[in-house]
This record gives sequence, C-alpha cells and structure tokens, in this order.
Amino acid sequence: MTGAVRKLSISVPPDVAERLEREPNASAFLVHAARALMRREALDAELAHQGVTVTEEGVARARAARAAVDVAWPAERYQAIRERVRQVAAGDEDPAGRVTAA
Amino acid sequence: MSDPDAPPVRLVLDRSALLAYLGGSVHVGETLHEVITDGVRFGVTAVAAAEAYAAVDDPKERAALRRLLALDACAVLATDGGSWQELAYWRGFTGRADLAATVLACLDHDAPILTGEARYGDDDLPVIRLPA
Repeated sequence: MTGAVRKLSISVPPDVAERLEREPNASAFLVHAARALMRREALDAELAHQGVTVTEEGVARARAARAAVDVAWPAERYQAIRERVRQVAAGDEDPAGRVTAA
Repeated sequence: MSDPDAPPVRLVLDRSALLAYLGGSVHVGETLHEVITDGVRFGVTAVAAAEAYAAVDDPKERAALRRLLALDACAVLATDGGSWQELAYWRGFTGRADLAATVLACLDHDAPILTGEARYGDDDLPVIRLPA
C-alpha cells in the first residue's frame, strides 16, 4: 500500500475482529477488500447507466463459460502457444504452418 | 501507470465486445460483473480501444467507452514493441492488427478473449464467444 493514508478508528463485530487479527497487515487486508467492493460498485453503476440489468442466472452462465475456458486452457497451454509462435515469428519454422496448442 | 497491487487481468475484450457493450449487451455486462466479483480485472488493448472509439460517432457512446476504460476494474494494455514479430504472426492469423494485439494481450495475461468475432480460429485460442 503506497501513497497518502488516513488513520481511522473503526468498530467491527467480534468475528471480523478475529479475522483481522489473523492478518499480518490488517490495514492492507481492509484496503484490498474495500477496493474490490468499490470496483464492483463502479462497474455496476456503469452497467446501470448503460441500461444493462445483471441477473444471477446470467452471471452464473458467465462464470460457467469462463470456467470452461480456464479448464481447457491451463497456463501450460498459453505458454506452449506463446513459445511456438515466438519460434515461428523469429523465422525458425515455416510461417505457413498454423500454430496450435491443442 | 500500472499499480503493482492491482488484481490480475483475467479477461480481454476486443473491439467487437466493446461495441456490444456500447450496444447494451447483457452478455458483456454479466461477464464483466462476474470477472469483477471474482476479484480480478478485465483488459482492453489500446489498439482495440482506439478501433472501438473510431467506430462510434455518438458522443454518448464515446463517453460511455471512456468511462468503461477509466474504471479501476479495467486495464488498458500496451502492446510491447519487442513483440512486433509475434504481432505480425497474429495479424496474419486474424487478418486485423487490433485482433492481433488482443491475442498478444490474451497470451501475455493468460486471459481468454471475450468476442463476437469469428477470426480467432477453431479452438486455436481461448475465446468466450458472445451470442450472435
């Protein structure tokens, strides 16, 4: 966490206090959580401005679609196609051959 | 300016996804919402942003695009000059420079592309397709 900061005195319920006490840097933990919430609020305000109504079902569908791609494309597959294209682009291989990482 | 504490980019939007967003696509909205709820960010290459901006004339749509790209949840991504040969490869593959820049961002961040385009091949790249 960098930049200007303000010191606050806050009150939290016991379960939250116990969770914060397990953090080596409770301030950073709270900032991270607050920023995540702020990002979501800002996006949702923008979506509302666009007239887009997000539904739980739609978000679940989106989650499933992204999860399916993540399963099909582990980090090794990204790495494989990056390296293969670097070789082709550097002229090590016939550029006519289409690169695939399947 | 990149924030080292910023969450990783886990989804890349291309020009077609940006234009769908401006058209009020609920699929784009729900996908963005899901990504942010997951605690990560989405990215747009500067080239794709410029192409989308050039494709709209309506001042309201241009303002909406500027606001989307200014969100903390959105990373506007540079294309590294040292990657020009890979960019050239993907330019040949997709047929467009903005799509090529999007592919490079996708591969740099291990993040699938949200798109309505059919130019990314058939299972050659990680793509989440928008409904036609």
